[in-house]
Amino acid sequence: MKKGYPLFVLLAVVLFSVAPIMVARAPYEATMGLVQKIFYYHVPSAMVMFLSAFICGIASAVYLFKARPEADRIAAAAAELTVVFGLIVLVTGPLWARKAWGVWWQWDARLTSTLLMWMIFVAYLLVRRFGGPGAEKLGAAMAVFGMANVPFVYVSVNIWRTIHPTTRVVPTLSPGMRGPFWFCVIAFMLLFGLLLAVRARLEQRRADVEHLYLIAGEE
Amino acid sequence: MHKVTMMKLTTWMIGLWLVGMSGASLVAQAGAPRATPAAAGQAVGQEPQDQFVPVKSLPQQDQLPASTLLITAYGFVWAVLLVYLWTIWRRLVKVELEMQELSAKIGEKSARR
Repeated sequence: MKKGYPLFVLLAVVLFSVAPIMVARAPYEATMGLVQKIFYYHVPSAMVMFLSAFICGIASAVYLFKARPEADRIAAAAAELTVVFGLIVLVTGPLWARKAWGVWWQWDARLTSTLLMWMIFVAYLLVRRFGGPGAEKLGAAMAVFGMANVPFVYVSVNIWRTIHPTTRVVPTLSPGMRGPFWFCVIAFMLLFGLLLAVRARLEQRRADVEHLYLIAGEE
Repeated sequence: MHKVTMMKLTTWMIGLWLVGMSGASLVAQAGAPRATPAAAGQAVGQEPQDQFVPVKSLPQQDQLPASTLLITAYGFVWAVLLVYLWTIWRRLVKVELEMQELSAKIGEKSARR
């Protein structure tokens, strides 16, 4: 994996550089026009946020039931990325909504549940940072709750009638929009994989430092 | 003992949460009035839109305010990602320095012995 880092970084940079060109060349949407192009970053960010929340929840469950420290490190990394990509979703969404709906925010099922899910992962990070001894396990339990939210957030637009478009939008994209969209999805997924690996490495190095402190204290 | 209690507590909490969420969904579906198309920003009598429809040209009056929002959104994404990358890099450098200092201290102690 370490040997492949430069290649993946280069690929991610290329994809992110080409993405705006592809988005610019994509056709305009009939009713929303230019502002609909936020879609090409907004939805991939949401996909990454869901994936990250799942990874965090599964890793936290492994840590809770198997007590594996490496799982906790992956969970911590994924939680931070859930918050980062969640922030992107929660900011780009209202920017799009202001033009498309005429309001920045609407307390409907999709928007509210997304905000709540994001807040659970913010709480996870706060608990880990300020919770003191045993905070990792409390945080892990919270992450499992956060992960359990993902399916509800996803289907909320189908269960309740909301302003937000349904989950049928992506599968029924016109051919001109499909290419740029999936290109952006690949770019975001690749970037997420890289960030997760680097962030998990940071946790690993922190664990190494703690181990060294223990050795220094013993000697 | 502590670990077992923690696991039981977590399992119970997850179970209760799932039951609560399912119940809330059912109650909301059964009791809450359906949002009208007008409330959802659509014309009365018009079918709700569930797919994007492309057009070849964009009305002129639609372009300026939308472009500001679009540029802000894309700029924000890039800014957040770059700032996040910078924070990871900064934290990694700090940890590596701490590690070097500790390794040096441990090495000195071992040499004294």
